Amino acid sequence: MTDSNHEQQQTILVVDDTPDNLTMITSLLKDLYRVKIAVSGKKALQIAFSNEPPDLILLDIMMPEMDGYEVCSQLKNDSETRDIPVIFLTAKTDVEDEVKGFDLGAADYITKPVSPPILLARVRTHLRLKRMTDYLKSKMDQTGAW
Amino acid sequence: MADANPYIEKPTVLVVDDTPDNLSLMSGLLKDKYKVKIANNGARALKVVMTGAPPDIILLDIMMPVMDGYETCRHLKENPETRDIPVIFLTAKAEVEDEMKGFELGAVDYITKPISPPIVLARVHTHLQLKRVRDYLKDQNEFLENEVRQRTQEVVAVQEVTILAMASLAETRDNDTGNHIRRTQFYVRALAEKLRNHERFCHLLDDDKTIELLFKSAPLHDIGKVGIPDAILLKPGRFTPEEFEIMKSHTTLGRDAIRAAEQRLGLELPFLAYAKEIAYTHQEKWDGTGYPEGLSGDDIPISGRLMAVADVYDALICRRIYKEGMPHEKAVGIILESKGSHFDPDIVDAFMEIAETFQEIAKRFEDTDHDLEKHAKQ
Repeated sequence: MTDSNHEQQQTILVVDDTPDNLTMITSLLKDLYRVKIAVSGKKALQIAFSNEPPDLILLDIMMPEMDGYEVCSQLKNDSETRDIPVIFLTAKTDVEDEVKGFDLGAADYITKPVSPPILLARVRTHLRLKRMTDYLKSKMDQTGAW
Repeated sequence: MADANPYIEKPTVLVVDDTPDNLSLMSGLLKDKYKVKIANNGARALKVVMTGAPPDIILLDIMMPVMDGYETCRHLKENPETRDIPVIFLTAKAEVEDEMKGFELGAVDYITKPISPPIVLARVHTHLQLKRVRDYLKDQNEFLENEVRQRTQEVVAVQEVTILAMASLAETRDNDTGNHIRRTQFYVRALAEKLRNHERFCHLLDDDKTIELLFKSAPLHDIGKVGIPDAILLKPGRFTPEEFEIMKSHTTLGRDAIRAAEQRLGLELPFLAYAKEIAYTHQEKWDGTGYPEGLSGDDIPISGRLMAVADVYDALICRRIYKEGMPHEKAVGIILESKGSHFDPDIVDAFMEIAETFQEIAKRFEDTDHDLEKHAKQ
């Protein structure tokens, strides 16, 4: 498995209601991944449930109308989107909030302001994990066990 | 993959920190789910890693006296045995440059102090899972590669066993001992090697695989003798013309037996193509006076021409229970006399050049008294 080739084709959905954040994160990721953006929770769900779902979602928590928690819980309650890793983007660093996010099924947190090396490392980790588990699942479906 | 209890044993987490309070805090947090080892400096950490079962993941403080986290990480990543253990840095620092440095050294993530329990648990879980899946896939790759190697060896072994089983059938009914088959096989290979760059033969022989196939197929040259009645096959004296006609049919019988085997198998095997050719044409003569077809010159397949020289030389030199073998020099003389009549002249020239090799092969697989007696009793 060569990472660079595979990661090139993987898609990341970035969800944030602040255009500056979207621009900044997109610029960090666009050389390595396909990046889709959504400025609201509702838009994010539309993209996640489309024919081309993303491989990973970076999800702001504090958004008007539908916040990140709500988006996450809808994604995790549907079998089609359950396996897409969600990483929360947040300025908050409260332990209770973190517990809540993990309970909802989040994979990790990235605190704002975003540190580029941290963002890239966590995205890479969870894409890799997803790609490998997807591969194993497809093998499992083929053979009935692994 | 169930998250609940994916391991038979709990995975081991090594926590490295020079502050006792941090160590006890981390231990308390992790000990329900993991086996926790601790070290209060980098040097101790390396020692723990190298002795006993290595940890599955390392949580490594950066600021430590004597050997700091960066230095410890560098050592871990330099050693092939410890390179694949994921390292997460624990740090109060949050400078981007420091983070870059850590990732460049091979760390997989950072956890900032003061630590948040859910974050620690989530990151440890993520990287253990990633490592486990990677290890599994690596094992599987190795397994598959191994499997392919194994199967290939089996196929080759089956080919060889098939040929030897068929050849030994012919042997048991003939005057020849198993050594005749071994010797002729090596003669054919020696001749083919000698001629591989010859302008008349290189188009066929300049290829290791072909020579290997000839070597493997040569033992089947007399397989057709299985179909010759004992009264003729084992007759010590000269054949009557009628008997000789029947004897000659061993060439056709041999080819047909291999062909029938292929048809039953439903596929043509490349290694049997030469076997058919050799069985059918090794009694042809260069001047067209041989059998079964009376082919001459280049119409006789090269494999059959090579086999003819090998077969006749061996018939001349080999001992029988009732006769001594002819001396090597005399046999060489007879082959040379038959150049251009019985044998392809260029093959005889090659034979003359490597006659010593023939003699060595004959010695190497010489029939002992024991071989001859044993064979006579069969």
